[in-house]
Amino acid sequence: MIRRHAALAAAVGSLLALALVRGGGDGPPLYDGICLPPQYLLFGAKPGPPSAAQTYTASDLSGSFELADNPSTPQAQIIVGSGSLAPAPGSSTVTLTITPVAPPAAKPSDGTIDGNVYSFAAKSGPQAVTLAPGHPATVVLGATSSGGSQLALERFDGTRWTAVGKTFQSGCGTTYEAATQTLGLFALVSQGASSGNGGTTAPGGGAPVVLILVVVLAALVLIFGSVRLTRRRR
Amino acid sequence: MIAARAAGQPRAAALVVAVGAAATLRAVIGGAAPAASVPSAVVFSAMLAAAVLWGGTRLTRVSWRGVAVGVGGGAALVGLSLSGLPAAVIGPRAAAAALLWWVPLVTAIAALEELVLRGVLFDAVRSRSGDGVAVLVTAVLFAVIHAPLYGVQALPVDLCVGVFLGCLRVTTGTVTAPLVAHVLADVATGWVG
Repeated sequence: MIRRHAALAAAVGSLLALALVRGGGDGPPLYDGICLPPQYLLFGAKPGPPSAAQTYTASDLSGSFELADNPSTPQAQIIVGSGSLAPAPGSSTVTLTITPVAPPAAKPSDGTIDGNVYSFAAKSGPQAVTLAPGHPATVVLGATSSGGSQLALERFDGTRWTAVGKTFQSGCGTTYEAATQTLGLFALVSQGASSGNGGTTAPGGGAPVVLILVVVLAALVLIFGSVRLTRRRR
Repeated sequence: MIAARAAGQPRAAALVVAVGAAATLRAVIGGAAPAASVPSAVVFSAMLAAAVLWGGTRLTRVSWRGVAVGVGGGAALVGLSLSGLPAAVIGPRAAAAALLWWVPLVTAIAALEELVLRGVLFDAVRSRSGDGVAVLVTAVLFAVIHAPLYGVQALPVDLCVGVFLGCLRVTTGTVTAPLVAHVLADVATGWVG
């Protein structure tokens, strides 16, 4: 009976520890299971993908912030660091928008567009605002499917699509992100096998984690083995 | 009793290796996004099922008290998981049709993990070293096998969840409570959160 009461107390303690460790909804997924692929909303379909707009004051802009088209299962998101955006002279706010748009006539030369094209823009009053030099923002886009193909985040500069640095695969493998110094039109492009630019880096579940797993398991086996050997000798 | 203690250690070691091998294979098959890979989840489930059968868990023992405690434990985990989120984002994450394959698969993974960790492995470790060590060993293994899916930053969270589920096992005396809690938490937070 005492043992069960102690276990109950430990269960409550572990829940409290969990609340402290997790610290809100932004932590890693709690449990196992497999990621449920979100339903992708295509431009022009019903229901279509939502837009997002948010106005930030100078004090908001002094910290980092993010804007998503849908807070639950975002298809388009931007993360802006402190000092990346500043109001234009004569204005005190900056409005950031994410809008799904029709794809431009020019196609990417190195692959095909996966999902929607999104316009990321910042305005202060009527004036367009650019990101401060050396203060890139991170653009995050959801893909229509996960795994199989290599996707890279690309930006349309008005004439052609170009890869935005290194694209990182994140979340459940269905979102891709890259840092950009310029806002504008962005899309994920399914890369051809011969493509040399862009490229995708897997999230935390790559080889180092597998290595850690193997090392920890080997250590556990060694501990079990050595304890057993010691007891046999006694 | 002495025979059970002597047999517990190699069995526990073999189960740790089996679960580790299953998790490693899942990570390798899953490639860049193991948490989203259905084939790797199926292989993982099959290997856990083999470990359960080899370990000889008593599947016929269903405790209704364990079910009740498990529902309560699952509700606590779900509440804790969703409490940090704004109300606007809590809702179905995918089309209902996806649940036809997703719910059975997630349920199988959660149930098999519990039958191995808080079932046969827990029994094997406890017979030799007692409840406390059994809770800790199974919680550490639970956290480690999730690292390839969610990264090392998930280790503290999954360690806490592992200790919680182990305590439910000790409190009720059966694997039913952690099994029910784990399945509820996975299904509810995965679909709604």
